[in-house]
Amino acid sequence: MRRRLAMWTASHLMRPLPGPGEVHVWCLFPEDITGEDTALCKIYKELLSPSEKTDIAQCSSNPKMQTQKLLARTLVRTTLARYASGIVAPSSLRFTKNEFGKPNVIWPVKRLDDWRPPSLCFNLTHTQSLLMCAVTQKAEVGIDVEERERKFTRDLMALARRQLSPEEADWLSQFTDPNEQRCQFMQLWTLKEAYVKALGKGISKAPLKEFTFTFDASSPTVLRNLKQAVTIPISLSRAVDNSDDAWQFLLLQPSASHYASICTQILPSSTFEQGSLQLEGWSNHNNLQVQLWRTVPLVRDEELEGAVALALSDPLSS
Amino acid sequence: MRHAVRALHSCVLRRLQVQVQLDLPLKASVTPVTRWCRRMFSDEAHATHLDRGEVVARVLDVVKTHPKADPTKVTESASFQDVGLDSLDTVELVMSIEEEFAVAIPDAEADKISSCPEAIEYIASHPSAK
Repeated sequence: MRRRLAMWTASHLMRPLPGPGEVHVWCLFPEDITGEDTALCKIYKELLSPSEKTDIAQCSSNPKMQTQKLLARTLVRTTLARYASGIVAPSSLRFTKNEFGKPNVIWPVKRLDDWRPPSLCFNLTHTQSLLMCAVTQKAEVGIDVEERERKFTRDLMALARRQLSPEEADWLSQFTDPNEQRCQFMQLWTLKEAYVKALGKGISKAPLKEFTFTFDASSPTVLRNLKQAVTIPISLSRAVDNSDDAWQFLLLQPSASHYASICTQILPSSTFEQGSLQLEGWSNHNNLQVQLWRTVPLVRDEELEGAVALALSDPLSS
Repeated sequence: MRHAVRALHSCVLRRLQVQVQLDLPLKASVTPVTRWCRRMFSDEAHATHLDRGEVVARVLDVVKTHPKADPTKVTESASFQDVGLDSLDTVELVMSIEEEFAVAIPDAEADKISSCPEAIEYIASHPSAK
């Protein structure tokens, strides 16, 4: 275990930063960890802050919740530390929350020779069977994941009328197959949640019923990343945050049993200009560049296999 | 007269079954019958707020019966997240609370309910809650 960790530290903590329009997504499947349970989880625990450890200790009656919390904090700490060129240890990061509960990271090292902490935006989401952490440079990002087979305790259309916009609920009511209806609901839900999380102002400032996602199956586009996936365009009716910010959305299946949505801010190209350096393709980019990894923190990373893109928004129309 | 009394008697019984909290003024011999009927069926007769202890007990009960809630974490001060619920579960839970207390919570208010104390506070301060 020790030798494996040392090797990991050397190579995997030197991850290049996400470029403009790029989102890095780190996926942790708890099923990947079961075999090495105790030893690895002990090591993960050492990465956590005292308050995080206390929070976990207080759930001692619920081992599943304990594991979720442990893995969530481990994922976000190890993910952010990857982009610090080996200068910052996962355990040394501190986190604060804005007035609406959106987390922010405080780097322990403000400057080391030419290195400055990167301006990373990140967002975490998790279900029992999958945790995901999305990272961008400077662009606000939101991500939400749900299990496809999620069980509801209440009537789905009653929930839909409550939480979706009237147009979305009407659209949903047209699906006669209950399974299909539930899948479509979950897709809409992840899109809406990802948007609210990206905005970072809480649900009261962005009531879910006040914006509508529409799928346009008549003109699918080819996504240049995610292995040439064919996707359906989606559009968002009027942004709710009353700003000029533009947002782009990607709906995907990170695995056969999950739906996830990623929402990211589209920044003006001037944000990234460093002198005359402008990254190739930036001014023209239409498609979000998303890279997904399947990780067992401190042990291994590999490209996420089997992810399927379902829908993508055209940045110009939202 | 006997017929009227019997009719009133059955009204009283029905009201008693539905409104367990209702404290009936059993002074029929003193209060004119018509005025008593109007009082019984008027809103003022049962618009007293529910007893807080009862609100707490019933709210916590609804939370505990949610399939994803950890009953050992359900306390008067717990947030729904503490109990193991995510945002979608919370929406369903609020709908269940509405059903339990026969109230309709407006969206703007419902969006603010994400914990046991917030749910208890809302119900306890709404006279239409049953």
